[in-house]
Amino acid sequence: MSDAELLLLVALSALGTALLRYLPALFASRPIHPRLEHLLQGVPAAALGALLAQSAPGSLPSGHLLVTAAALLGALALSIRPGGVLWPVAGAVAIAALGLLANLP
Amino acid sequence: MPPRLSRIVDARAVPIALGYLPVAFAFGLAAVALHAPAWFPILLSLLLYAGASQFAALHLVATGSSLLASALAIWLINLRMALESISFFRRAHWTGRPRTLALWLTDETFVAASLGPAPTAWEFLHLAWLPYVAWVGGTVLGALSGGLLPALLRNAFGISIDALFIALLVGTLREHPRRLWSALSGAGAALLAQPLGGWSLLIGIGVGAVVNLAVSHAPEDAA
Repeated sequence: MSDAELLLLVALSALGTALLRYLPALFASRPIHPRLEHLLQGVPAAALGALLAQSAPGSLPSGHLLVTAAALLGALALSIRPGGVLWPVAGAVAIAALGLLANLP
Repeated sequence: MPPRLSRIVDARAVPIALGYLPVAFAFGLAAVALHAPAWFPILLSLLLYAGASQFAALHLVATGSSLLASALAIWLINLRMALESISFFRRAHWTGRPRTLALWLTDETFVAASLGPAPTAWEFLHLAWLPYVAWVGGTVLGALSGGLLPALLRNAFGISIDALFIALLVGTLREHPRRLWSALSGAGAALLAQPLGGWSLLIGIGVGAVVNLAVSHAPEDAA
């Protein structure tokens, strides 16, 4: 693609995505069927599950499954007691850094 | 987090930003490695701000796809954002100009903002600005200079977004245990749909939402 086409691609994709994000905000306050309400209430948890399933296996460089699993379990263990998200994240990053430093599989 | 800092940034924004930084860095690096001009990934991050579709854009450009096909593919990949946006704004009843903050709605900020009470526009701004800065900043760093961040640290930060997802999921399940079925079915469907590329996330979200409808017998609280 030429520079002009690349620029047009950026403009088209940004405009389309902005509309996808913004237009629902204009209509969201209208009353909707309770079933649709239940459907929408399930979106955040479903998105979390789908995102985790997609990204967790490739979070760390390939060949470090043990470190990935240990870091994610660490995050889970630190999440169980209430108290924000910083500790689970910091714990998982620390476990990952140590595992990678030790070159564990 | 120190109280002064928590006045300008939501604690949940920090892990999101830490997770974005290496991914955005890798995105900037990958774009330049594919001989795209440095302004291309930077402009994409500034204006599109949607990770999966940005990587897809690189792939489409590198494989010589047409302009229209590339734009269409990017819109399809980002279709889930309409679903997330409507779900978010059903709870956050903002009117007028604050609704433009929807442009900073990403998978991660949506999920973080969807838990607990509905955020005000100001609270959402506290959550959303740092990840955006990290995303754009990471892209600029990746596009303009290679090895500023040691590889080990860059790799270790890769786990931070998933750790955040786990922490958020545990938090939401504490409030709404039945939504475990949404999360599990969403994860399973996304995994099964993996060969469909950009569609898999949308399919996972759709399946998880339908499962929530099936297991909901009585109206729940918002979230």
